[in-house]
Amino acid sequence: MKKNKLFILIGIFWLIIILVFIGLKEFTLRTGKKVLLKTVPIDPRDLFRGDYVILRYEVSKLDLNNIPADYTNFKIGDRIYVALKIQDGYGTASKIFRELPKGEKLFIKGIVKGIYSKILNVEYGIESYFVPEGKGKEIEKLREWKNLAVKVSIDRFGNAIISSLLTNSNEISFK
Amino acid sequence: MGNDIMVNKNQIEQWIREGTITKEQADKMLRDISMYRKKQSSNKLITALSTIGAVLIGIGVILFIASNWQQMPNIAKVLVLLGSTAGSYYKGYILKYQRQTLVKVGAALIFLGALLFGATIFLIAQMYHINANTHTLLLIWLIGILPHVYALKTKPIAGLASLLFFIWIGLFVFRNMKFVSSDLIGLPVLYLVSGILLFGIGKLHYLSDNLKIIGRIYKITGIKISMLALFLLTFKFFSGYYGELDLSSQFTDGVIIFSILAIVLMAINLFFNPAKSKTSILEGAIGLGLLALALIFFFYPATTNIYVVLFNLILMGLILILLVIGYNREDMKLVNIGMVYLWIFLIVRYCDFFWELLPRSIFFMAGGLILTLGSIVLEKKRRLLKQKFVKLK
Repeated sequence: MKKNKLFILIGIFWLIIILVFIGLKEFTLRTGKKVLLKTVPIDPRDLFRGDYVILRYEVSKLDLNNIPADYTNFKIGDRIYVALKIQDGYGTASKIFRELPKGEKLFIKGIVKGIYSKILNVEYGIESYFVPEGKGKEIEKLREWKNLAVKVSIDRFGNAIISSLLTNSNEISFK
Repeated sequence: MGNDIMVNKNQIEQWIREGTITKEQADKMLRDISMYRKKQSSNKLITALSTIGAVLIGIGVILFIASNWQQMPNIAKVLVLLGSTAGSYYKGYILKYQRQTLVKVGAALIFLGALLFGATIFLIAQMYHINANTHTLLLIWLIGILPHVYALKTKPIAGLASLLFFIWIGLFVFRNMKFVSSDLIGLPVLYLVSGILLFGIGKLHYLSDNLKIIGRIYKITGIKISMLALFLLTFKFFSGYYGELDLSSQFTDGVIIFSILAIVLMAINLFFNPAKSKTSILEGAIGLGLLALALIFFFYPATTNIYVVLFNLILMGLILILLVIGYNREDMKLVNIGMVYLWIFLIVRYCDFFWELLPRSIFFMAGGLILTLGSIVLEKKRRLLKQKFVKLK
């Protein structure tokens, strides 16, 4: 094959990767159900991508003594699905599944990152919130504020994406 | 190595004395050689400057967009990134392949295109608040540039691919590490195994004449990473007695999977490579030996400091082997790697042994003296070898 054809094909391949990447995220963002999750921020910095805050949610810690699960022998690295119910406007964990749950309308996909006695530490892929340079510390101060929450979109496969950060039900804007 | 001048000044003078060539012919040859050297040197300068320029532009674009992220609408961000990636890539293609006027600059722009492609992935991830330091982003970047490496045999992008492979491993460990685990202590073993794996992948490329150029990049990167991992393993911190290591299951799985792949590749290279040269057999044997040692160390931690001694001896042995093979094959890259590690090894071990034994003033004076004299001797030896290789060519 001639070099110019190879070049064009590689360019198209790159474009496909980027478009699929954007497409998957847009699918979750546009088709997903909007849920509020209570959160607490901690500030670090990503080398590649400027400032961000690490977020921890109430649903990041799942107590197996209080939340029913269809499986008990969880290991670090296990993929799990957490069914959510809305309580006082916020999503809370109602049941833990090891496999994709059937019949549940709202659930979020996560990975077990730690197990301490009967408490699972879970990551959902929504633990980073990117902000303009230098704003990370400002958000960290919000820890002292009450009712800090994140609005997430959760699609029918359990994938979640952050759509906005809220305090006292007001969206925080950095513009 | 790039320098392919067949004759030098001494030979030309000898030819004049023997009457093989006339004075005029000799002058013409010397002028041509001088001009060729100037051109070579200027080419190297252009390559270096344009590559540095490409990297700086890449970093600049990443930082610009990272810091102005919230002020731009999503569609503008994507278009800016896609536009700069496509623009750099296309211009590079025109300069390097179509017009062939500024080949080196074209190559640098193509490299910049590959960097910007990665930046696009990372910054789109930021746009959607995908978790920071996610290792899968590096895998996507790697998958994107691999077709370029193989379709167009681009050496700098092959180097970038090797680098991404090792950063991906590091990030994977970092993201999956438990706070109480010993993953960080075990990291050099994982890097040693993956360095040998990349070396094996590189050797496999030698089965096809077309892919040798890529195989060489992988082999050299594999050697560099393996040597770095071995060097780390010479420290008590990494290979001293720790009893049972508390490693996460993903880490252990990673070491096992990479080891199996590396063993299979090294065995294939050892038994199926048609060029059964002594060096090739030696490379295979060393690779398999190192893998065996890495696995024994990983699964059977010692109750004494035996591994510290063993890794020190092995590193010394490998430095010697690199220097001998580099000398025999007239391969300056291998000689340079050997020299660098010999020097680092000597300095570090000098500090280890004499820091406690000598008074501070003598420690620093003797250290300075050894450093100065040693660097003069090693640099002289290195240059001598380089000159010798050029003459032999």
